[in-house]
Amino acid sequence: MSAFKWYGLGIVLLCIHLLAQPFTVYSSLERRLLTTKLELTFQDMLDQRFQDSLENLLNDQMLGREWWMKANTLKDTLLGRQIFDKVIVSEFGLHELWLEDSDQLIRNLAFIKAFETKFNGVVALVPHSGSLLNNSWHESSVLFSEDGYPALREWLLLNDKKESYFYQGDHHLNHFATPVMASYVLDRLGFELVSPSLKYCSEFSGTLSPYYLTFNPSLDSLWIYDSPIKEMKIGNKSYTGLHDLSACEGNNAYQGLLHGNHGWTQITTHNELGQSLLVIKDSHAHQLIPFLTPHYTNIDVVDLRHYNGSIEAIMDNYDDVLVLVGEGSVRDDRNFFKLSR
Amino acid sequence: MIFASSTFLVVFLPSAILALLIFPPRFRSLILLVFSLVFYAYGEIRYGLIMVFSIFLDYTCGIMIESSKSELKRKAWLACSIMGNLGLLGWFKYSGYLAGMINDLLQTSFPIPQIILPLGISFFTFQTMSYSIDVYRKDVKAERNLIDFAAYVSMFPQLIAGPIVRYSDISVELKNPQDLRPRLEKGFNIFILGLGSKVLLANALAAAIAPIEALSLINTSRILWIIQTLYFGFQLYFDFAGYSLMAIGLGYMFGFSFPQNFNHPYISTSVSEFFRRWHMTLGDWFRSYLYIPLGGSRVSLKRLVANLLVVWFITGLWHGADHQFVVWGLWLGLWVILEKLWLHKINLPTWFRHSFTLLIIFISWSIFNAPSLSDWSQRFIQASWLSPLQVEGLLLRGGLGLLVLSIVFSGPWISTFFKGLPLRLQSIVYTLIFGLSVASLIHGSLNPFLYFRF
Repeated sequence: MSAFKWYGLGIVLLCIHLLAQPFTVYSSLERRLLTTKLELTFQDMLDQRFQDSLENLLNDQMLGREWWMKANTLKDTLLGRQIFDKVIVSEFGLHELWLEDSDQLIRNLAFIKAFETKFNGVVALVPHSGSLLNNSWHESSVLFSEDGYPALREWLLLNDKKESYFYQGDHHLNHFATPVMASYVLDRLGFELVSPSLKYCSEFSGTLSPYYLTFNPSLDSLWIYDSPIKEMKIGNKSYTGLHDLSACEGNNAYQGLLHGNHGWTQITTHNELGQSLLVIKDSHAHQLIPFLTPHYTNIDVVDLRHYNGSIEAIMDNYDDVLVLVGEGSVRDDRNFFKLSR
Repeated sequence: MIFASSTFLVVFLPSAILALLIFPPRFRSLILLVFSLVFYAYGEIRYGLIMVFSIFLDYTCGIMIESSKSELKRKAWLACSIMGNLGLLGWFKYSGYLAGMINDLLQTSFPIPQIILPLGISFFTFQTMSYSIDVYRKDVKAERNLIDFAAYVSMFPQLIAGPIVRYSDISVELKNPQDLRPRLEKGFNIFILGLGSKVLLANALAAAIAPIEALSLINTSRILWIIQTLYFGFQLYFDFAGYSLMAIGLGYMFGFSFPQNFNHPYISTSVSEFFRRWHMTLGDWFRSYLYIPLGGSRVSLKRLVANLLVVWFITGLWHGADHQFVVWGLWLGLWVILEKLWLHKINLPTWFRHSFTLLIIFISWSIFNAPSLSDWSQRFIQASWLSPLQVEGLLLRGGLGLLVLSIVFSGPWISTFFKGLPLRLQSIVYTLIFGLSVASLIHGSLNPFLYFRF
């Protein structure tokens, strides 16, 4: 049968599929909501929103969509492609590419440095998998050279390069590297490392695989550090544990850590000494919080990406302040200006 | 709308084919016109009127040129068409560039117009100008049927990125619509080859270039620049040649034989030959409507050099309103002149001429692809050989397979081999290419189109 006949048949089947089947709402493969409706006003057409939403709708509701996507990944694998937008396929698995040194990075470092100086805070940047992969360390690290940050890098690099300190499809530190990072952070805060308990999620394909849709993804085990707490409040919701371990059943167990990313999280621990800590973080800090809970009575966690209040106004409430973010976020996140307001 | 999109493949193209199959052939021009206007407005609804204006301008001018008795009137109507088209092009494409240049030179502060370039304006203005000139030269008769003429100007397969089709190329087919059914399969196969070239090769090369382009001057290097230029040269080829092939395939499906636009340019052994194989319809346009009217090569040496410089200056400017495109054009023009006057007399081995041509061409792509001329010179002068990030190996490895495939597919070898395969096997390959292209589009991978705004 000719390609044109296959094309005609495909169009007929697609029409039947679109008319007869309800639209698929969620893609478990990519872990995202799919487009199910069109933006359809004259203004939408003028602004190209209609055109974009139609293209997205057709792509998202295509007959046999997940098979098409797997075929695409197979094709990419056969073509020997290694770089997909910001994700690179390497001998260590999937990792974000570490390349950019934009003006944003310079601005972010200036905000962080000013904040560190003004409030005598502790800044700890969680290493970026891409920079370890390239075996190069970004010059921005020089800013933190006096506080031993490069030593962490060297430890990670020199121990055994064959051993990955990141999940195969992820840019977060894995359970080998987390205690190293934690001991460094605790040392800066003046505490000894107390190892938390460790829980286990199987079949973790990483948070980067939705970008690439690995044809046959290597599955890791996600080892979750956990520590008992009295209460954790996120908005109106209250939890008795640091993590949502039911996320282990889903495709992205990492989303369960610290119950996801939220602007403002309050943790009350079993520590009775009354010390308080403010952590300014992104998702890289989620595995490290359990190492901090034994040492503080109250820990408030702020994610600048979701927080719109003033940081300076609340600074007096805390004994210590810790900026604990991924090195990659310092590169391109546009929310660090909030440290100055 | 672009051909390499689900909207085109799933909604637009089947609707157009269905409409053309349902209605009798005599309605073909009307159907094509309606679909073409929708196609154009879908991408830039605000600029649909420009297309309509261009159609009416050249339709009127063509009839008036033909019906005017006095030479003066004929010339006046021709001037009206040319001024109208160049006026559109000048305002939308060059006014910002010109204002910026005047401000720089005279230290003035004229406001720089921020205008979005209408889709395909460089192509359809050249196409309609060629029609008016051909009518003036009496090479073709003026089209009296407004629907046919409008269908010719706005025909969606070649509207946005060529090939630049002269009216004489398709006037007979326009007047004699045939049954489309025997042409659909062959035309669709040609379309698939273009789609595969664009989606499977050009887009993959674009993704390999993206991380290099993201590097700032401080972290880039000359080696990375060379890698980027190599990838870009092939990306541009597969992107543009792919789009042209898609246009030719669609044209064939709808009953038109559009001229070939690319003929394996990277096998050329001289710069002149390269541009006889690259964007052939643009080269042909400049030869017919600029170079030959200027006197061509049958003039004095001084005049010949001047003619060639003018043609290549305008060729550069046609590609973009910026200094680097002018320099790009003049760089190539310089080598064409050297080849025409001296280099062709030197007997050099083919491998050397081929390598040297590629060197000249890829240097030209480095200028063409630079964000600006000053950026190009900064990279040339200031960049070190190796990046402080030491990513040369990583980025070269990431695209090496693609580069080898690009070299293989840019030559004539694969198509020669493919034509020798049994038809059944060819059908399977076409279906496979189409399937993989659709898979890429659904995935929502990087899908830029380089000639979209030219």
